[in-house]
Amino acid sequence: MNSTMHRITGTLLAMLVSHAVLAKDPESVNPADWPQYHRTSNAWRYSPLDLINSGNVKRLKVAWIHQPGDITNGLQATPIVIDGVAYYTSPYNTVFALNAATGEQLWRYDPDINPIIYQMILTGQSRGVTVGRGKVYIGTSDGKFIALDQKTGKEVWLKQIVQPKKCQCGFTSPPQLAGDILYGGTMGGDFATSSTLFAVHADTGEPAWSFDTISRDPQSWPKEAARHGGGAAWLPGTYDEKTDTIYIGTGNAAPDFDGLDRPGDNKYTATLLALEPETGKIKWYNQEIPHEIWDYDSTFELLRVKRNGREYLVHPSKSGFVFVYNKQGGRPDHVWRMARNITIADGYDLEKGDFSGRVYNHKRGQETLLCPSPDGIRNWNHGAYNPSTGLWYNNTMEMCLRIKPVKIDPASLGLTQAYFGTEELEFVPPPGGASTHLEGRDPVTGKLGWSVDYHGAPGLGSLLTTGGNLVFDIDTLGVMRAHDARTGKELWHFRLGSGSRGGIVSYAVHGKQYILATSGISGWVYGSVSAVFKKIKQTPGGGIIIAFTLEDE
Amino acid sequence: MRTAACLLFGLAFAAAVQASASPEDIKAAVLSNPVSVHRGEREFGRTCAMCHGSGGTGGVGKRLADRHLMPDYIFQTITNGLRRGASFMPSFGQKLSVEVRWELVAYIMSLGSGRQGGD
Repeated sequence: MNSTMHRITGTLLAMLVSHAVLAKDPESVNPADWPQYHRTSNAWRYSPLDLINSGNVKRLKVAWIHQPGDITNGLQATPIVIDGVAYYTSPYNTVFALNAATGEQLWRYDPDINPIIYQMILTGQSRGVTVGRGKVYIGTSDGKFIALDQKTGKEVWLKQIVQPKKCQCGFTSPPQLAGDILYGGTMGGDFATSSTLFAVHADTGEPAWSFDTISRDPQSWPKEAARHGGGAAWLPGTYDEKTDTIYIGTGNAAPDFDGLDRPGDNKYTATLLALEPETGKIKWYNQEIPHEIWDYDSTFELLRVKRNGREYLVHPSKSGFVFVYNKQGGRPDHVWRMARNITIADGYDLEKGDFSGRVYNHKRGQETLLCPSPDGIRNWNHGAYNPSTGLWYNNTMEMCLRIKPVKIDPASLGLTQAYFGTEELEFVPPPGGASTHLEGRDPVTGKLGWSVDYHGAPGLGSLLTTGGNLVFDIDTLGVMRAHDARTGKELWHFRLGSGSRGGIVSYAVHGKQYILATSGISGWVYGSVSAVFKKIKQTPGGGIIIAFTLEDE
Repeated sequence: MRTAACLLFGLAFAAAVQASASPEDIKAAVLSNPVSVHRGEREFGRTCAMCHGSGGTGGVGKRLADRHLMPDYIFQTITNGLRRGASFMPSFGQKLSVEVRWELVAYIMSLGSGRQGGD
C-alpha cells in the first residue's frame, strides 16, 4: 500500500473508529484529541483510538522528537493535544506549542521566573498546561497563574497568586478549568506553611475565591499549629460537568511525622474535597486519614467508573489503601489494599473512618519504620483505566522509610528546610525485600487482573491505555513498553535514554494515530526511590518529547 | 550532662567566633572545634538528610559518606547550590550562617569525605 492510500484508508478508519468508540468515550471528547490533563474528567487516561493496536504495535517507529533545552529536575508534563497542536512545558514553565504531526515548533513562551526559586528544593517542576477558552494556562514555580493566547503564545494576563518567599510554595501543576473558573493549589505542604486553593476568572485572571485547606476549627487544630499545617492540594483536580463539582485531594499534615503538637483530626489534610466551582464552598468531603502522621497525601486523581449503572469514585492514596465511594457525599463504602507491605495499620475501619491498628502519634526520638514509604505504594504518576478490560493500571513500588521523629520549631526553618519533624530519614526496603510491578486491577474491588514484575526499575511516569488493547509505560531505566491490556504481555519496547515523570498520551492527525511520551527523569521522588532500587541510580537525566506512529507499510 | 557540656562549650565557641570576623578565621575555628561535628550533624539531620539521606548515605542527592571531597568545595556547594545536568541543589547561603555552613562541612568530613583528600 502506498503512503497516500494508507493515509486515506487511515482517515476512513479513524472516522469509523471515532463513531465506533464514541459510545465508550463517556464524555464525547473528540477521539483524536487529548484535550485535558487526564484526557477526560473521569481521569481514565484512556484514548479510544485503535489504529495502533496489539496486532501492529511492533511496527511503531519514531515520528519526531522535540527538545525543550532545560532538563533541570526532568520533564513532568502530560502533553495536551487539540486539533493537531501539542502543548507542553519544560522545567521552569517554558511553554511550547508544536505541530503534532511533524514536531515543528509553532511558538514558545518563556516566563520571567523570580530567582528566589533557586533557593527552594522542589523547584522548576511543571506538569504541563491547561488549554481552553482560546487560552493556554500555566501555574508557575514562582506562584503565578498566566494565560496565553492559544494561537500565538502571547501573554493575555498574568497574576501573582502567592509569594514563594512567604508561603514557601509555588505551582507545580497546571490550574484546571471548571467552566469559566480556573483553580489550582500550590506545592509546599512539607514546609512550615498553611495551604490554600485559589480560583480566578479564567478570562481575566481576577480573583474568584480561595479555600483554606487548613481548617480554623480549634477542635481540629490548635491555633498555632494551624499556621503551618501543610495540606497542599498540589495535583490537578477534576471537574465533573454533570454534577458541577470540582474534585480535588489534599496533602499531608505538617510537621509530616511529628503530630504531638497538632492534636485533633487536622482537617482538611489528607481529604477528598468536592467543591462548588462558582463559590469554592464545600459540597461534601471525606477526610480519608484523620490526624495524618506519615506524609500520606490524598492528592491523587479521582477515578470515576460505572458498574451496573452505578457510578463509583475511586481514590488512591499514598497509604497503600484505595478508597471507593459509591455515592456522592459520604464515607467510602469499600477500601481495598494496593500495597503488600503496610506497617502503619492493619486495615481500614469504615465505621470509624480511619485506619485500624494505627498509632495516633509516633514517639519522639524512637526509630520508626513506615511502610509504604511516603513516596507511596504508587507516587503521583497517574494510573489509566480501560473500559474494554475493566482494568485500572498502576505502577507500584514496595519500599519503606525509616524516621526518628523530633520536635522542630517552625520559626527556625527557612525556604530550603522542610518541616518534616524527623532527625533521620532513610528510604529502605521492606523486611521481605523491595519490589515493583505494573498491575491491572478492578478499580472497585481491587481484584488483580495481571501483574508484571519490573525487576527493580519502577515506572514513575503516568500511564496510557488505548482502544487498541494496549497499555504504555516507561520504567526508570528509560525503557518504554507497550503491554497487552488484557494480559500484561509485553508487545513492544523502545529505549528512550532516560526515565520519565511525564504522561504518555495518544492522538490522531490526518487519520494517523500517534503515541506521545516525554523522557527525562530527575527530582526528589526519583532520587529517593533510587536509594532503594539502586540499579536506577545511574539513569541519566535528559529532556525530550517523542512521538511514535506506525511505520508505513 | 553531655548536652550541658556541649552547650557551654558551644556558647563559649560562638563568642570566640563572633570576636573574630574573618571568614578564614571562622573556618579555622569551626573546623578545629570538636563540637562542630555534633552541631553539624544536628543541622544535617534537619536540612540535608531530606535529600542526602541520614549519615550522608545518599538518596535524592549524592552520597556524601566515604567521598573524597575538599572542605572548600563542600562549603561553596552549600553556599551557592549546584545545577548540573538534570540535578539541582538549592543555595543555602542566604539561610545558614557561615558558622553553620562550616559546621556542616565538619560533619560531612567526619563521614569520610576527604579521608584521602584534605585541603
